[in-house]
Amino acid sequence: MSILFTDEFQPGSAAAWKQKIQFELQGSDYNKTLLTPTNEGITIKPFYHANYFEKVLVPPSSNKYKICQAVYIKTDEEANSLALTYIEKGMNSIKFIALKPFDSTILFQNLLHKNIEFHFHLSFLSEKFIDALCKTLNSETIYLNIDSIGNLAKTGNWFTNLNDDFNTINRLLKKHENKNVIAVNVSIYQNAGANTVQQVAYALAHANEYFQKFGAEIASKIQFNFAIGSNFFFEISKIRAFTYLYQLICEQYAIATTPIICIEPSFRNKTLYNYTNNCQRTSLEFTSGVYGGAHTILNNLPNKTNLNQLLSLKDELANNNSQDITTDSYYIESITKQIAEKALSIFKEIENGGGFLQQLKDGTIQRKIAENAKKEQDSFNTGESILVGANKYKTQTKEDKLNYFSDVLNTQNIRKTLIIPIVAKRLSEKIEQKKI
Amino acid sequence: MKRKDFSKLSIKTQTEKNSYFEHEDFIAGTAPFLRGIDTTMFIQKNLTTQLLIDFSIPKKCNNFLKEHIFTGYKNCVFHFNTSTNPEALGIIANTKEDFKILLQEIPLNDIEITLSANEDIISILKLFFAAAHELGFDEKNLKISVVLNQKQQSTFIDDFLIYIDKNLSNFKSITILPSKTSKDYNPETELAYFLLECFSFITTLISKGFKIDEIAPKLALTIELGKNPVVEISKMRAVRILWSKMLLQFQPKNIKSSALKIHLNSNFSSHIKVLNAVFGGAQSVISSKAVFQIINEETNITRTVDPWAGSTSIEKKTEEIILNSWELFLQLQKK
Repeated sequence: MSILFTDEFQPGSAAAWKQKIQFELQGSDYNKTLLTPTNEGITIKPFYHANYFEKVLVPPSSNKYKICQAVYIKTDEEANSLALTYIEKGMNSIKFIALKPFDSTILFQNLLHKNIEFHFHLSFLSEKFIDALCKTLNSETIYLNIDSIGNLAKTGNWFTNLNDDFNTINRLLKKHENKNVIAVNVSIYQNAGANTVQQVAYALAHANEYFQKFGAEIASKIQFNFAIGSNFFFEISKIRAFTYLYQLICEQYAIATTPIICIEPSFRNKTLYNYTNNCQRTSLEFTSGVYGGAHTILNNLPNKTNLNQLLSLKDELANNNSQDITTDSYYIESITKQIAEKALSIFKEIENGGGFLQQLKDGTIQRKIAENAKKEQDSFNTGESILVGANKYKTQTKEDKLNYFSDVLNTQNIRKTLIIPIVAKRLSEKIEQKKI
Repeated sequence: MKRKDFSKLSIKTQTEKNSYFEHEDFIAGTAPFLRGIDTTMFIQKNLTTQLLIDFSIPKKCNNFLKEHIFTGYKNCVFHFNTSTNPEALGIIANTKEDFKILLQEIPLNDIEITLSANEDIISILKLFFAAAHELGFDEKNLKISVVLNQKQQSTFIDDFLIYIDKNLSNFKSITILPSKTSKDYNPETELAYFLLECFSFITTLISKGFKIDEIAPKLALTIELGKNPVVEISKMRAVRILWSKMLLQFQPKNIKSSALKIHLNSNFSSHIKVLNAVFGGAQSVISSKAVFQIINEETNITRTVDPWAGSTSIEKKTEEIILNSWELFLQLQKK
């Protein structure tokens, strides 16, 4: 390289670059024009440069990612046939969403021994049912995604009560040691309006409650379900920062592990109008997930465009070790480090305040999420932040059927709750009601 | 279990990169433009999205364009089918009357048009200017770009420059389509041929009396993006350096001569290609506006220049493409 370039072109420092920009701005304010503040309290700079390099050592993600389609079980036969279709198209993972127990023999007909990973979201906690399910799926890789604390956060209630829930889970963990029993559904917080720093902190604090109850030995068997929002590089950095901190915290328990991560597109930034916009969004969100190093990329919308995007993502990115691309990137490394630093500080505050469960009961977590959600909503309402088709570039197009297959939405009727539930809310909900 | 005390826990920051490449410290807005041709890139200037118009019937093209101008499109690419192959895509327009139908009621002074043809581009240009003239437009005010492949370059110089009185000012840009593509060969071959063909194009123009600073700022690269993001992003970063270096021997005085503009010419159905265009710092893509709108308005992707810079795989690939393409260019030049 030296022979080619050293004498011909001068390398530029960060200072020289900034100076050149300031010269071209002709008196306009550099900070106002070019800096982008975020709700995380992290400012996006117009450029990042080796001169100000900083990073934390994010452990590499071990597996190649799977692409997963959500299937909502209306009838067992229909769900089975849908799953078969998706697998035929090239999906290598399926997430079944069930409101009530199903018949495993029907649901898994012709689905077994095909190297497919199965995820579940069950709106109920039944030991007997799960025992039978695990027996049927004995030789399969499965993620049961049981998240009692998440259920409490989302619905305001335990499945049964604290003791029963934890005792059931404890027995399940012992009986099904080789299965991934527990999940931390971080998506609940994202979809209610928590920012990336909060999500990382809550994911850690939420998981730490399970360590308290069941021991940190379960750390390598917990799946973390993140929802991915719009801020592309922050979303990549969020997953990386979480991966780094999870390893750091597990080390405190003398456990060496990295987290299992599944990502799905956020519900929060989807709009009712113009169906293709949502597809563009989800597609970007899938991509963030892949670059971040997620193990499973979940399509939680039942539409064909999303599915095809996910399938093409499998082709387009699979040949790279896509996480390698993030290593040593000035920008991503800097954001990752800043998210990690801020999230760790929130995590420590939560632990100081008695832990995540305590702070859920206090309403502290709910209040903090609401504060950030309000900032996001205000920024959307004033047009400072934009959703194309909703508050800018409005077009007269058909309503999108926002058929969301996600555990973020409350499916139960509101009843008396133990704590304030954390409810998912779309930013454009109000503005779209006006339109109708 | 007693709660663990995390109060002493802190992150461990490292301020050194694990990888380093010598070209890494080149910046944006100054030669050799590794990180972009402008100092602030998309923060202050949008990626141009071009509407592709390639229906065979001129009237249909005209309607399509009018509808889109109405919704805010200001850039389009007319692709003409000048081959004898009826299967080939593109507008079929052989007479001035066809062109007048094509351009009927189009506000030509307000939009930018790129003309491209699979074979005879000269006839297309002549007919286009003639029709525009009859529709009442002064050709000096038209914002026209033309895509030239290697075969078209020599006829362009011989026939057309004489026709427009040795003047390049009618053109916003002349974009060069390399004769060997990444798709059929590899990025290095594509870029080496691009350099070679531009080198010979520039040399010929200079021999006809043009100055390097009249020619080079008008020239641009038109390429198609492949699927692999690491390769495509690296390729765009590498070619800017290669261009700056190739131009040195012509001793340009104008900084704009050394800043290569990149146009991406395939029709982008997938967002990921538009995404890679932004990542690589291209100037235009053929795409629907909505894809870039979402990227630009919702994702913060455009709020920082060359966001992947420093990345071990991107910088490594960038170096690889620079070195291999340059070597191949020198070899080809000797032949």
